[in-house]
Amino acid sequence: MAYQVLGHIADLRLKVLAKNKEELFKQALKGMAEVLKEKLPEKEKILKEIAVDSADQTSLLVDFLNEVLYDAYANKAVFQAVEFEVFEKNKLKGKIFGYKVKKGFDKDIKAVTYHGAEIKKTDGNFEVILIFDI
Amino acid sequence: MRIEDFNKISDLVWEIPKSFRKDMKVSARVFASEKILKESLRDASMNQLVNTATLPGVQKYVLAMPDVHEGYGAPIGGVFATQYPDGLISPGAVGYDINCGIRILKSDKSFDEVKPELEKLADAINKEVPSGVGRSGRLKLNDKELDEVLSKGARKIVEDGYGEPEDLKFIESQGELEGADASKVSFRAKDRGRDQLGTMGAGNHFVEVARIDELFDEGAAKTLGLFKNQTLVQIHTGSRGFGHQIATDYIKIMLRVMPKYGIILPDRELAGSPFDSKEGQDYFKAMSCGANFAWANRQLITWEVRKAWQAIFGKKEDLRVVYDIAHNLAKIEDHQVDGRVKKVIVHRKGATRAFPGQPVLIPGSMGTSSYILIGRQKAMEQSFGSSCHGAGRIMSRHAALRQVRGGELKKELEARGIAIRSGSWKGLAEESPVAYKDIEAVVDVVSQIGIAKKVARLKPIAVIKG
Repeated sequence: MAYQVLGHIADLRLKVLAKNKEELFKQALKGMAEVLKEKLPEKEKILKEIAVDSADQTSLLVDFLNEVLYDAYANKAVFQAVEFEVFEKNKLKGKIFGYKVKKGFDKDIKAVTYHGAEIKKTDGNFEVILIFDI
Repeated sequence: MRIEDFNKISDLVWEIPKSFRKDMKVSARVFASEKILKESLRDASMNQLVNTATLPGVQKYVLAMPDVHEGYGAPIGGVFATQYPDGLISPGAVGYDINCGIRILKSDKSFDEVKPELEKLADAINKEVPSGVGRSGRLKLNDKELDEVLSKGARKIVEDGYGEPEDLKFIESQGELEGADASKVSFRAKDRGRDQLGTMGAGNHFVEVARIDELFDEGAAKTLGLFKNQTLVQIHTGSRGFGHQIATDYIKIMLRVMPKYGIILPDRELAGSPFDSKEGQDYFKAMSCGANFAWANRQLITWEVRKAWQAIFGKKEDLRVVYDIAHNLAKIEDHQVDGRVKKVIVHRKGATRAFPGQPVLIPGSMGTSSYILIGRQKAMEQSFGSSCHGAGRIMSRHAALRQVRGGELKKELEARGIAIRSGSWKGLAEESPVAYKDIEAVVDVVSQIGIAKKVARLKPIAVIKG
């Protein structure tokens, strides 16, 4: 399944498509990683634990990505993969994996917004469009 | 939305009546020429404006400035006020980059004096002001020092020797919002901001050296210490990751508590709570910390730019602050509503204050003009004392990248005598002037409506960005 970076007048839109919700979260994370750093220097690995709880599943996705974004800036790293130990409607727990970046990021994502975000099921797949404040 | 949905109040003022959508509590006004309004209808900005007209406690009418464009939650270029003390305060309607703003410094030098040293000056500024994403600044603050920045803003930076007490007189709110409470800011926000003071960031943030190309009001220019062909420096940046994290934290909190207050909104990004609720107060105190951090940031960058300036022109040469204004902020102010003066909570997102007599700084897109104006009484009557904040985008970054090559744009700007220092070709192309509205047309709208009076037009001579 896939993600696609789309335009937005001021910011960036990420369209994500996956066969299940867990995969949707994983693809959204990959998409965000690509926006932060197109070519990852795969030298120094980094792993962090993550736990998020939210009001609903769409909020959980946005909050999860914002949590990863904080970890990215705090550790000067890009996280592009996740393994979930808990994945529920409004709660998740797991580990995120990535690489340290020495020369900074390509783009400054200020935050992942909730604007217009809604996880939808279409033709047996799950889809969401997220707006990143750039 | 179509142009037929608007009532034409005058050639430059358009209204979406309250009857347009059932959930609107007030009407929505747009300050624009017909051409600008039609351009605005191509994106979602007008729907976002209508959404703000549904917010609890919203007063009089909501407003879009001529630089309006699609954002998230509230549109960029949006202004609205809610009832004090129990109307909504919305972190998303302030924006993630709390107190993103602009400062202009003036020199005693004419463009002719600066021109021979322009390339060296651009190099020196580029060296002194860290830019790009993830680059640290020169200060590493401990908890106590950071908390002092959050409560004192630009004053703390001046006290530490990075500026003159005189600087503070020419900053909106003197660079320090009262009521900032560092205990309302998360560890995470502090962690993100700890090493970012004195850094520009990326995106549309920049330092620009400019010359005054035209004076429109000699008297006002003299009062501000401006003269034709004078060299100025513009600094555009905000509260960096510190402010972004405050907004992220509080939007999440607001989403959780909205059901408790019975608040239902058309867009989650507008999430908020009553201003006088615990969450509303906590956010306002944290937002004030974000604002103070941004003013401290622009103050430290001022010191860095002065260092670069003096390295080229000598220790006796100085740069003085013309003014410094915020673009993304909520403030408690007195305004005329229903025929009487009321205290309201004014949200400005991609808009600036334009109080009578106050300098209004409007930077254009890269390579085009910028303006210095003076706020007028009409702003108090028509726009909650507000004006536009820039040119306003009309093209996405993606579309700009398809049309413009960074390297070619650099050559084109250099051929016009503008020195360019940019950390990224892509970043340069994304900020190409073709991606923005015509600044002249945008400024003409606020000037002709009478919100603010033109004083000076600036043309860039060097642009330094991440």
